[in-house]
Amino acid sequence: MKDQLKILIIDDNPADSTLLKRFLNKLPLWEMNIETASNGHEAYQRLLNFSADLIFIDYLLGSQNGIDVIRDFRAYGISLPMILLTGYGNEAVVVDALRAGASDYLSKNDLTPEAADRTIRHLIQKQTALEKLRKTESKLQKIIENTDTSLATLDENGFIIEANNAFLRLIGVKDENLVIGRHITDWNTDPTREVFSKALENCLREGVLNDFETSFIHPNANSITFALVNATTENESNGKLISLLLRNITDRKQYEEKLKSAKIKAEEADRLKSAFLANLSHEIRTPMNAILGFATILSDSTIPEEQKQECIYHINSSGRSLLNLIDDIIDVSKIVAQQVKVIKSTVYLNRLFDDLMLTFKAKNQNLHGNNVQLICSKVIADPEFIILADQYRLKQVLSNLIENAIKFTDKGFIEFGYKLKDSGNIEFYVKDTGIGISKDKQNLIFDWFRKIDDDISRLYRGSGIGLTISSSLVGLMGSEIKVKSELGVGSVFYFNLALEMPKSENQGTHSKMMAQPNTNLSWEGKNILIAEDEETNFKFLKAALSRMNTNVFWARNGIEAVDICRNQNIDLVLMDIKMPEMDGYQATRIIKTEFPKKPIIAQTAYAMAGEKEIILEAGCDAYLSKPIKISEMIQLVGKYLYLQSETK
Amino acid sequence: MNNWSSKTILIAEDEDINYFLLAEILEPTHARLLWAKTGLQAVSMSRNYNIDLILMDIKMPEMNGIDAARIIRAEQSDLPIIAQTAYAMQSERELILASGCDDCIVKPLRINTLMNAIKIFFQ
Repeated sequence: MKDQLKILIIDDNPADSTLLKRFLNKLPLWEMNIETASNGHEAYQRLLNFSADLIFIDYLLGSQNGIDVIRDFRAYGISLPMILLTGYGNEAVVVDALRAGASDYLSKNDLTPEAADRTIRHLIQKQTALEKLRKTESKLQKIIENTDTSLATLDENGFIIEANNAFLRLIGVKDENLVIGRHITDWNTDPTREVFSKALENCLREGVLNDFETSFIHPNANSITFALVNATTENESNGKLISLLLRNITDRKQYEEKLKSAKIKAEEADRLKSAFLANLSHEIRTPMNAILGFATILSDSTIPEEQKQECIYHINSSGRSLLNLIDDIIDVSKIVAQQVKVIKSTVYLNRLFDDLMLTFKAKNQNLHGNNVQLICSKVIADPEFIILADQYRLKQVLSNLIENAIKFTDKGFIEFGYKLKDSGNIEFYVKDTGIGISKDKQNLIFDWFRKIDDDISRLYRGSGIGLTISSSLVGLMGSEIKVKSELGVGSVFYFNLALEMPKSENQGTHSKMMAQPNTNLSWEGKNILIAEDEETNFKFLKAALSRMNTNVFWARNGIEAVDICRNQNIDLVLMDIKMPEMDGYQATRIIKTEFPKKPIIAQTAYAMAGEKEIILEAGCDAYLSKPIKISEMIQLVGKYLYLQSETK
Repeated sequence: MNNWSSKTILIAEDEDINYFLLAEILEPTHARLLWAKTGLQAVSMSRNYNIDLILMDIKMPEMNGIDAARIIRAEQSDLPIIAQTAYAMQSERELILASGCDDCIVKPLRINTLMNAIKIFFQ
């Protein structure tokens, strides 16, 4: 089957048209579909309905000439192949015709089928190739418009000539017209702008730019977009062009930033922890210095009695501050492990404040040479005024704050108390006329570890964890400690709690709960086993118990403890936990299996968070933490001896 | 027994009890003792008194012992300064000696160590 070929002939002479039509129809390779027009205008109209593959145009068209028609058609965007037919004596116009856009020419005078055939075939092939190219180009254009990769072309001065949709999205502009003609660095901010400009200059020189990182500011959102830029240059007739290919790497950058800041945080935490440990070592050594130093002096038997008493006093007070430090560390461990719970009960608030007043008066007999007055301010006179709060923790926080105030106040007064606020809150406060805290340090004093990290100077005496503990505890109560302070004038630490009143039926239980167990029971003849590997500790406990006329047995490890329980009629066991051969947990388990009712009281120095649960789980009835207070031990032992005698 | 009755020792120490301990230890030597409670006080006393030796605590309010030692050392090149501190780490010790202290003894203090450290400068 022959190929279809649609031809339009433009000739003002109908006879010539017919002649040409007949000639073309005779060409063997195609099946011709030929239309004719007598002038350019008519031909243009015809082309609206007739999709010609090829146009023949006679040079002489009456008032027009063929070259003008060709030029007009090309100007209208008609890209069809057009062949100019030249007559006798006007071959010279061929050059003009080709310049105007003619695809080829044929001379009417020697029009042979071979020449016509060759010319047509050549033009059709060329046209097909061109169309293919055009299709590919439009496909490419579509890809460029729709790809996620941002593309832009710049002139050699960096002004944008064209940009695709992805580029508009990248810089956050909706309309292409707002981009064309602008400088590429218009969306950079200052330090990156200069760097990017330099990189583009470099690119012009070298012809290429590889993986250059820059950032653009979105005009509205004020957010930053990070981009990785690759570019190449092309030489055009009117100068160089730069083709940019940009990839949005904002997500990756943000991820990197997050990683970086997490790393910095981790390192900071690590550093603070090391500093905390170094400081802890310092704070433990400080009271140890006094304890060991005065103990050495005390060992000299020739010193007078009065001096001995002084040494003992110093050893005692340093021992106590060491114990306070250890208690603080335990509190920190509990808070960090989130094991501190607020337990609300009825609190006789005025009694609590009286108690604080008594404690601090006794501790500080003459406060800085009586230059400092301690004032307790209770706005409600009723001694039975009660609120619902965590008595133990509330007292701990207030004690910490008062103690702190005492440390830093040389003259004036320290006032502590509470106020009722209109908001239904109760405000607790501790106010002093001490050295004060500068504004820049006021936030730091509550930070874990912060104080010691600050520098080697003392911001505060002591380990500095008292304030952070207090701040955490108040946080657990649902509030926040605040500070108002002025250097050289004084400070106020205060916090607000929601004022809660206990329900009336709970009121009576308070005194019952506080009731002492019956310890009037005679201890005479009771057999008490002390499981303890340290001889000093055993002697201490024995001395305390002997005063109660009890018989004391000694086991140096868990195995001996089990053994003695089997062979003696033991009424109660005081069980150390850390012992050689068999520890207290295991010994307790065995004894409780064989003698479920025998009371076992653990005595341990591991007062860390979680320890208590393990001890009770092993089967111990109660526990005492070391250093053991004699009164506490006597009370607890008495309680269990009494309970046991009742069950017997 | 050492008799240092002609000597004046400045003790820079913010913890009362640790000052009392040093005073107790040094009492039999009859040395004259001066007490500074901050680094700042130590610097000012080193200017106003004729001092033979300083026992310098490091962690003190207002000005720490390192800064105080640096200032005193710059003004008096031959005044012995012995740091006495609860900082026990090597890096801290290096920092302290670099500030111009002649020696550094660590708390808890041993009486012999302290006395020997002082004796070196009093012979």
